[in-house]
Amino acid sequence: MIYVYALCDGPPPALTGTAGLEQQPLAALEASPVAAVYSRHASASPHPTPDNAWCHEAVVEALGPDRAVLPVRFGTTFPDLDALGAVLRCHRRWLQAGLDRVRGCVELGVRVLWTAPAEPRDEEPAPGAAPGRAYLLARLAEQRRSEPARARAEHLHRQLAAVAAEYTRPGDRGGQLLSGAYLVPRGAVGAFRRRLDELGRADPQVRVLCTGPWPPYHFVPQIPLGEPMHA
Amino acid sequence: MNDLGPPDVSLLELLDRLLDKGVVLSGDITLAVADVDLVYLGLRVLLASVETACGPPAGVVLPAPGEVRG
Repeated sequence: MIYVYALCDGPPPALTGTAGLEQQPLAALEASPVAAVYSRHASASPHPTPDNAWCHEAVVEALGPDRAVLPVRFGTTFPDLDALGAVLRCHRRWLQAGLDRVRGCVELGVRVLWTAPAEPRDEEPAPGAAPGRAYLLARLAEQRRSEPARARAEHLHRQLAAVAAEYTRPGDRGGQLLSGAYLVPRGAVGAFRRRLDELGRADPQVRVLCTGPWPPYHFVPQIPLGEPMHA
Repeated sequence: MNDLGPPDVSLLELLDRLLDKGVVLSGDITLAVADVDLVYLGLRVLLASVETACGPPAGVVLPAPGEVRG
């Protein structure tokens, strides 16, 4: 079984010094202009344990800052190299365009969370109020109190977007004011972080989480796998 | 999942990317749906620790308590 970690500009790098999953050696399959980094395994696909996840990530990062890299989703396997090569050749235009898009850039993840101030006493529901109504009133009150922080998070996003080459906001879950992934040129990472720090310090009602730099997981091409292989 | 320091934040952010983003090259990604749900559950626990209680995140199906493994 062939387990794939990443795609990169060919020719592939020297892969000594980094091991793959289950300590298997890494190899590269060239399908010009793209190369795929993989390892061989006897058994089924690996489980997404923390160790395996970090191993996958370490391989992607080991491909280095000097070439464009597209991380492949965890758990991607092929029965043999012929099958992998066929996919790479079939979709080479998508893959090349994808590599060009992320060249020289890293991904930074940003979450802005609202740390709600204590509930004012006078917003407690009147005795006898229906629980559903009380809940909705409480949510409404919370939403009103978070509005200024929400507006500041939008302002922050606009500032970050101006530094980034691209961004995506994959749905703000729960009480997050902002959940975004930003594709940032390597030279602009410092400026990006400084703007983020400024907001985080200025506003005690928000907590800013910034992670990265990551490989550009959110900025990969969507391969049209449903189409015939020889299209 | 109760003691979430900075290393766990990084792990959750990593899993959020590895399991849900990245190039899809084949239809043969053999990953149990329950594993992916657990990642989102972890992320929600993390976020809930700094916010007031709120409903389940939109569009995310969480496993019933009895289904959570590990």
